[in-house]
Amino acid sequence: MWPYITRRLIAFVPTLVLTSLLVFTLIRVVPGDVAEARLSGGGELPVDPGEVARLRSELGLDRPVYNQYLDWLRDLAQLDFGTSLWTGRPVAEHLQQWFPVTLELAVFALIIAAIGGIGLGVLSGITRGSVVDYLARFVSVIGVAAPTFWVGTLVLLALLRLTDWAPPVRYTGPRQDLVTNLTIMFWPAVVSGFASMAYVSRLSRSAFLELSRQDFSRTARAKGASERIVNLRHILPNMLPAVITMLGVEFAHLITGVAIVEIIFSVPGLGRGLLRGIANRDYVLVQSIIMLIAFMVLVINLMVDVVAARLDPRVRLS
Amino acid sequence: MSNGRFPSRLLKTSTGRRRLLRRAAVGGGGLAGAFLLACSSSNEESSPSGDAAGSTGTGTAPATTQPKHEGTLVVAHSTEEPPNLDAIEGTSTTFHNILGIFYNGLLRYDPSVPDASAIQGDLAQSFEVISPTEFKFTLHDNASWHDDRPVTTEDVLFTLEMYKKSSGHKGEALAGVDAITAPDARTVMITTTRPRASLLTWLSINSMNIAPSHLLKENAKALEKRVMGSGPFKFESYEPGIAISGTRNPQYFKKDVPYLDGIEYLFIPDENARLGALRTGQIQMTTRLKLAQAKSVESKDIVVQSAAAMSNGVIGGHVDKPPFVDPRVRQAISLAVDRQAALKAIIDNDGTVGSPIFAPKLARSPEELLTLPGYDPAKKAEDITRAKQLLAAAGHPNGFETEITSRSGHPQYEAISVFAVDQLRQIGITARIKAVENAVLSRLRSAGDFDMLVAAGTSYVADPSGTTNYWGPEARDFPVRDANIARLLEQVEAEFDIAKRTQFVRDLELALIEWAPYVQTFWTNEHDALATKVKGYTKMIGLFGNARHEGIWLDG
Repeated sequence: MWPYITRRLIAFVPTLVLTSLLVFTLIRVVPGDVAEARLSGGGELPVDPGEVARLRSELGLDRPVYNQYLDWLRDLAQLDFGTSLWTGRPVAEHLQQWFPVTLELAVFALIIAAIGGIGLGVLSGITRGSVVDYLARFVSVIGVAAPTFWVGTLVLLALLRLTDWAPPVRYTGPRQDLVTNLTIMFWPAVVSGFASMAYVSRLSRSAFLELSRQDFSRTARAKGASERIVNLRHILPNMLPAVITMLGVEFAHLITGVAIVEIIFSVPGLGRGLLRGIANRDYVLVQSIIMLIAFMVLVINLMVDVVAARLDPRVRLS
Repeated sequence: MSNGRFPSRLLKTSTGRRRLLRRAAVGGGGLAGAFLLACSSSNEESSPSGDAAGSTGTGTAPATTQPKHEGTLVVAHSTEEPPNLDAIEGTSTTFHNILGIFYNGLLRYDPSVPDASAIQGDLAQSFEVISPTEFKFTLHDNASWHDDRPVTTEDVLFTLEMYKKSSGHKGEALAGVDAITAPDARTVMITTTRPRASLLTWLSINSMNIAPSHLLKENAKALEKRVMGSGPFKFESYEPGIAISGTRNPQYFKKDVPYLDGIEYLFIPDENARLGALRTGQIQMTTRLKLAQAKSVESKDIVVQSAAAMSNGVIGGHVDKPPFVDPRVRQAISLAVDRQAALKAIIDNDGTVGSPIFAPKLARSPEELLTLPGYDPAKKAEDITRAKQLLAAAGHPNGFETEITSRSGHPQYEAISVFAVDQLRQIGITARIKAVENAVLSRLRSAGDFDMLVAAGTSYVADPSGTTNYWGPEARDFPVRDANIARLLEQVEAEFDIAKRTQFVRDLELALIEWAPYVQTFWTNEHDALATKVKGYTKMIGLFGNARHEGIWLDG
């Protein structure tokens, strides 16, 4: 396994370099730049071309693009994320603040997706053809079809209307106050995890049904094992590799896709920072966040592969 | 003691300009509208009214309590988080609406007068108009920076000189200023090369904060990460993406204020979350709402205050490019656009039909505007006929094709653009919309690279000079090339007598409508929603009003 992991880690390098090239190019293709954005005060103030040129020079944006890229890549290789062109603060400082928040939200959402998705899928499989099955499938279809921003807004408004309560809007870290933090994170996690839960549920149901028709399940039943034993000892363990793979993919989606939820629920995470960075054309910040996300996705994929191989002896990493 | 409005008896007594000026100074008057001829003999906080009454009366909090020195006010502005903490270099409202609690200006608007028509000293204990080109300010002798250093005339000189050299509205505020001097340790004199009737109004906007020269001389970027003001609240903490908070400045040079122990500004980008937080008592105030949003939270516990935002929506052609260089084409467009319909269709009547000037006390009222060409919806058919005649006379009997440059992803710009296309079609002008991203729009506007333009902006002050960034001779978008208008603008700026100034403003307004650099569709309103327990707050017109919040307290 270790040679496989080593090869995969080495393969990270060209992937990340390619990603860096893409993100560096794409953010610059977008019209406008940070100097204009900073000087125009939201676009309403006249921009003096001389001032723009001065600020561009101050920010190092007047240098040849390839120089900017190579310098950035060199700094990145030394884990120096540079300085935000918008706030003037080190990007590392921003990442240090935002990344744990997003990670916590994604993990929380993943737990909800895993528990809810596997539970709903298995329940649906066990009660195949019943009202419960149809209800569970309806919920999972809604989860797949409904856009997160819509679900998030609806949840927020429903909470207000039905309970006259809303999640705390002032973010509090888990170290400051765990209970408050969990109160803040619960609903965003539910909303973020809802779509993932739906995917996991659908996969779990189909895997459950397929496995329940396999020879080993039939044999267990023939040997007199109860359905409960068959489900718990034979079907569920065999479902896990597929579900874990799916959860891994969903975790990567959650890391990259919680921006809207972060905005709706006032969670100061990476996604919210990324959207702000894009709006402000903060190239350095955007590039760094994307690279961090890309790295995370690569690591998660590797971990999923390794875990799946450990769980299923039939999988051989090569 | 607060400053009153400009005393009417004083205005009626014409005894010569210099004598009038002196009497105004001695009388401790204020101003009326944008007429700025006043002095403050005292700089103490306005007597608290205990009233959170709406500027236009959509909600009123009980006015039964006396100020209390306790509590922390939690506010969620709709404005974005400022990129850094430098409210001196920062120009947009994102800086000043939030960071204004840490600073003082030389002057400020009386926070209890919602139409920003009364000026008080802020760091200036008193001020005096010596002559139309000479302004004297006497500083408080006990004002200090939050690091306990005294605020000196050197700080004022340093800051104003810095602003004078800057581009943008702070430079505009000090246009025509010849010299800023300090004849003694407490006095600052500003002399101008030409009469500046609007100077005091400009000095009162909340972005004209005075900076600590001892820090900025050492490091011009010193305030980006460190707040150092003289204001009613001391900087406590900044958590990027979460909050900025301040605590009461116990050494504040004004007696008895601030009342609050602290203020915390939360950055909540989502509107529903802000309103939900207000409803559930997590915050006590949220600002700059649309009417429908504000009404959705109005209750026995939440009141809404409304005021003109001094923000507008305009449609215009490039005045130096054909066919818009021809005044007949511009006038035809002005006649074609139904302003009342724009007001209703685009902002649901939450505003007023406007002239190119925002100066409520001086310019024409919306009712008076109805008598002018293009403003009366009942005469729209006649206006359209006349517009077609003008186009034909200008050599475009069948209209022409053009392009409207607008901002993408902004509902108001998009709505005005679509509305404009529809209105122009009625006189045969076929327009297509070119929607571009905000920064690109800014670049195109600066380069004059457009045929027609939809713009939405803000008048910095309730005075004709507040909109010259749109139509003044040096304007970016619609510079008016007209000697008569230039002369009228000079007269408005030179005239300190309110009656005469009003007449000049009206003449200027009429001349601008006739010259038609653009069509002013409407001026919008904005609304603040606040818990009834918030006392002593009055929403002020515009985006650059009082931001000190020293007179606010919480009741219960």
